Amino acid sequence: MTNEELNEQYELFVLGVAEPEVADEIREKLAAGDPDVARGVAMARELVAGMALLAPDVEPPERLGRKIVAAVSQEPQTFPRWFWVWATATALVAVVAFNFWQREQKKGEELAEMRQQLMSQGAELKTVSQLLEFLNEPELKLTTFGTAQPAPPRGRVLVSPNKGVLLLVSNLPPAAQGRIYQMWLVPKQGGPVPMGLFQTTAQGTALHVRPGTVDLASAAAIAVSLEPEAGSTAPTTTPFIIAPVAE
Amino acid sequence: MLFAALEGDDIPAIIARMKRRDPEALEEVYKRFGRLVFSLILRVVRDSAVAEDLTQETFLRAWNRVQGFDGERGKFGPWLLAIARNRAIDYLRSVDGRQRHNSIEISSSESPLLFVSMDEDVINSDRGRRLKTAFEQLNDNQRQVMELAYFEGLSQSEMATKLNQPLGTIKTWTRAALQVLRNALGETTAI
Repeated sequence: MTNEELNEQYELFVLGVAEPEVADEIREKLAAGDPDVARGVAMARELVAGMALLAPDVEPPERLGRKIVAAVSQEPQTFPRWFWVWATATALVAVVAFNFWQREQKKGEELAEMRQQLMSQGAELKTVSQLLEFLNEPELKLTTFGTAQPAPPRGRVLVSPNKGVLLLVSNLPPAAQGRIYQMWLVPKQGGPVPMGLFQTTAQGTALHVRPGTVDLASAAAIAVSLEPEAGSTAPTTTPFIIAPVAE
Repeated sequence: MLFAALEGDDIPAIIARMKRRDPEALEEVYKRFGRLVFSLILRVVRDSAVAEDLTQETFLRAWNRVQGFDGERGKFGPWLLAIARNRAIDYLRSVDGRQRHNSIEISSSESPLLFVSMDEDVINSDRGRRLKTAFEQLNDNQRQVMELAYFEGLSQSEMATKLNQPLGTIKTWTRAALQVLRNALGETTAI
C-alpha cells in the first residue's frame, strides 16, 4: 500500500482493529522510520484518545473509588530510590564521623596521659634536684628513725639551716581516705611548727621536702603525725615518727 | 464533567507519588478520571457490575505499570483510557468467543511509550466538544462503523459480516467518518 492508501488505516491501526496485513505494513514502516506514517499514527492516536468522550456520561457507584484505593492501600509502602541513596550517604557520614570522633577521643586521652607523665617526670626531676641541693649543703644534719622498732616506718631526716628539711620514709602505708601525713618541726621550746603535708606511695615510701631556713640551735626534733586531709595547725594525733635533731 | 480539565499541571507530581506507591495519589487519579473510565467501559460492556470490575482492573493495571510511564512527557489520560478500552474489549471478546486475530495490536496499544509527545489537551474541553459535535454530524452508517470499531473492537471485515454489507461499503463509511472527525480536530490530511 502507498502511504496515501494507508492514511485511512491509521486510526484503525491505533484502535487495534486494522486488518492483520495492513497492521503489519504500518508496523514495518514505523520500524523503518517512515516520517509520514509516524506522523499519521501520532495524529490518529490523538483522535482515538478523544473518542472516549463519545461514551455517554455515567456516574460510577460511590463505593468504587474506595474499593480501588483500598486494594492498593494493603501494599507495603516503599521508599523512592533517592531516599535510599540519602539514607546510605547519611549512614556513611555518621560512621566516618564516629570513627573520626573515636580517633580524636583516643588522641586526646593519649595526650592527657603524656602530659601527666611529663608532669610526673617534672616533679621527680624537681625532687632529685632538691635532693642534690640538700646533699651539697655543707651544714647538713642527718638523722635516722625507726630502726629500733619491729615493723615501723623507717627513714632519714636531713636538715639544712639554709635549705630546710628533707624527709625520706619507707614502710609507711598510704594514709586512709580523708587523712594525710603531716611533718612538724618540734622546737626545744614552744609548740610544733607545721612543715607540710605528704602522702606515701603504694609501696609505702615518700620523699617530702620543706624548703626554708631552720634554726638548728632551737630545733629539737622532726615529727610526723596522721592528720585530717586539710592538715592541722597543731598535731591532733600522737606523732609516730620522732627524729631528734641533735646539735 | 467529561470535558472538565483532566490532564492538569499537577499530573506529573501525582504520577511521581504513584511511583512511590502513595495510595492517595491513585485516589486523586480516580477522582479525575474515574467517571470517564467507568463511562467508557460501561458503553462497551453494557453491564454495570462488569464495568465496575473492569474499572477497578484498569486503575490497578495503571498502578502496577506506572513505573514504566514517563510522567513528564507522557499523557496519562490517553494511556489510562487505552487500558480501559482494551480491558473492556478483551472482556467482550471473551464472552462472545470472538476470534482474537488482533489481540496483539490491542495489548501493544497501551504501551506507555506510545503516549509521549501527544497534544496537551487531547481529551479536554474544546477538542472534546468539537469531536462530540462532529460525531453527531455523522450519518447513522458512519456513526455505526465508528462505534463498532471503537466500542466493540471490530475490524472492517468483521463489521461487514455483522452489518451484512460489502467490505467496500464499510471502508467507504469508515473513510468518510474519519474525515469528518479529523476535520473537527483540525486534521487536513487528504484521504
